[in-house]
Amino acid sequence: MIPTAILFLTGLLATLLGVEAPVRWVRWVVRAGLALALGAALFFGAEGQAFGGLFLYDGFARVAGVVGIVAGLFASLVGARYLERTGMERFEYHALLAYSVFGVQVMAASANLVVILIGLEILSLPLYALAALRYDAKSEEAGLKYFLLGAVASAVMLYGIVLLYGATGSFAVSAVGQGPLYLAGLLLVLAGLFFKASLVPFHWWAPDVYQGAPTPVTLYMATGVKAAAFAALARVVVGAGVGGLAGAVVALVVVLTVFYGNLGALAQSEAKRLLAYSSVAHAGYIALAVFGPNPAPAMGFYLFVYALSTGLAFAVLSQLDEGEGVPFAGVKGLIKKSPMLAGVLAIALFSLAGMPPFAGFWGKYLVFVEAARGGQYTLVAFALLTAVVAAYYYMKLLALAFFASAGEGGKTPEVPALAAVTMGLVGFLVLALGVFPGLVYGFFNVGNLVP
Amino acid sequence: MSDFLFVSAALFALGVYGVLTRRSAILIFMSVELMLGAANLALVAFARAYGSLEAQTVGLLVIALAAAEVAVGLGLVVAVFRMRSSTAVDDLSELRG
Repeated sequence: MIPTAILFLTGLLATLLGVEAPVRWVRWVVRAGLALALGAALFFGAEGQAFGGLFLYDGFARVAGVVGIVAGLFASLVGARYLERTGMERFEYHALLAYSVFGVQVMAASANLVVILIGLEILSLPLYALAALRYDAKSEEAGLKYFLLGAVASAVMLYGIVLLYGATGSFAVSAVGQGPLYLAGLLLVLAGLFFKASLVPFHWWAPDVYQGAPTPVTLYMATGVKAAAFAALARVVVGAGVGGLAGAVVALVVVLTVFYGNLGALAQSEAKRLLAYSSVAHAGYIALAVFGPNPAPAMGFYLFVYALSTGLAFAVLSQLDEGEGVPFAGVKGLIKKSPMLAGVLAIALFSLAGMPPFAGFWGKYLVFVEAARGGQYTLVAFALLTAVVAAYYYMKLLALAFFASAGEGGKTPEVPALAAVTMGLVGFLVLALGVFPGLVYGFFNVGNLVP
Repeated sequence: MSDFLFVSAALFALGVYGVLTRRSAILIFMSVELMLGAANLALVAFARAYGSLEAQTVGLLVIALAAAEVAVGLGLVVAVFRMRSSTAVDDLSELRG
């Protein structure tokens, strides 16, 4: 509860302050607000509900909310140099980021479909603007594409919610009905959520938008938004019952996602696009968790670890990006230009590939075990096979950074101290969680998804 | 009751058709608004059938939501138009892989 309020007030304060005060004040207000909200969520995790149970801040909402706040804070801390170079630092950037993180909290903290939709809009509307904020052709294109497709997805989801209401007479995710009206409504709601979580076949926007958006925004998009989308998706699927139509649809979508996401990544020659396909593939692994008897811990842990690792990879790209994206040539010979960035990139990619002893390994382990406990052995086998393909393209990128020659003496990226410290800390966390996953597992071990 | 649902489904189908066939960002966006309107019509019809005030309030919320989307969306369309002097979505083809 408290973190949500803090984030809302941070957004308001940043908006009001931004009109008069210099932009660096706003930057620090938003960072302080995010840090404060993170502290409140971790240490005063006052679970509870408000508005007659419409807003339900339970353990799972807290976990997904923390992932969202960490993503926002990470983007804010490592993005300074990128904003400066591309000349896009205005107070709106920081205020919109705070509002979007607030939206993540709302979307994750409800078991009511209408509130989930409103949370989805609160987190998406600032993001459409953020994606277009660099004011060049690529950025505008990303913003407009994201907006048009996102608006269609939320309209489809709204129609689904209405049909579900017609079939069951309730907006709660746990209301189960029958008949064609109910099934059609469920399918439409799932389609809307699949879109936000970028699951195949609703993923085609992701590579374009991730590539065109400013890199720190992409960092947040790939991590924070996924947390909220999966929190809502898990509640809807578990509420409808994985034994029925919802489970069958998710199983089909998982197969398509891990297959297409990983194969699509093989063909890329742009680092941001490659990571976009990788994030599509990871969405498939995260969705595996819903089949288990106790999905919350596996899903929460995976989301957290994935957010740290993908965030770390995009943080490195934020330092390399001059506003034109990061083609593979820009990563070549990174070890000579900046050993620190190359080391951090290695940690991130090993973790994303799911190699022990990095944190990503335990994330994959937990979701695979969870799906196996739910009896989905075919799905697990399929996901394992495609994870091997994934290792190939991560290692390809890593080999470019470590073993390729740098070409015609590219610039040495200067990394601001704050960004360097943040990346070092997160990299250390990814390693530490890989060696001692038990230290934080208790935080993710929360109860039911559906009241 | 079924009349309302029939009209609503027809409006929604029209909206989907518009989204899929129109090539101008503004017209695509208008089709999305049609889909939202269709949802609202069905919502209010169901609310009447159930005698529920809850769903009617949600209808008002949806209108506010659509207005917020218009504000952001038209802003984006104007920004793109300034850059390219066109709002045709086929011109959006810089990002490819």
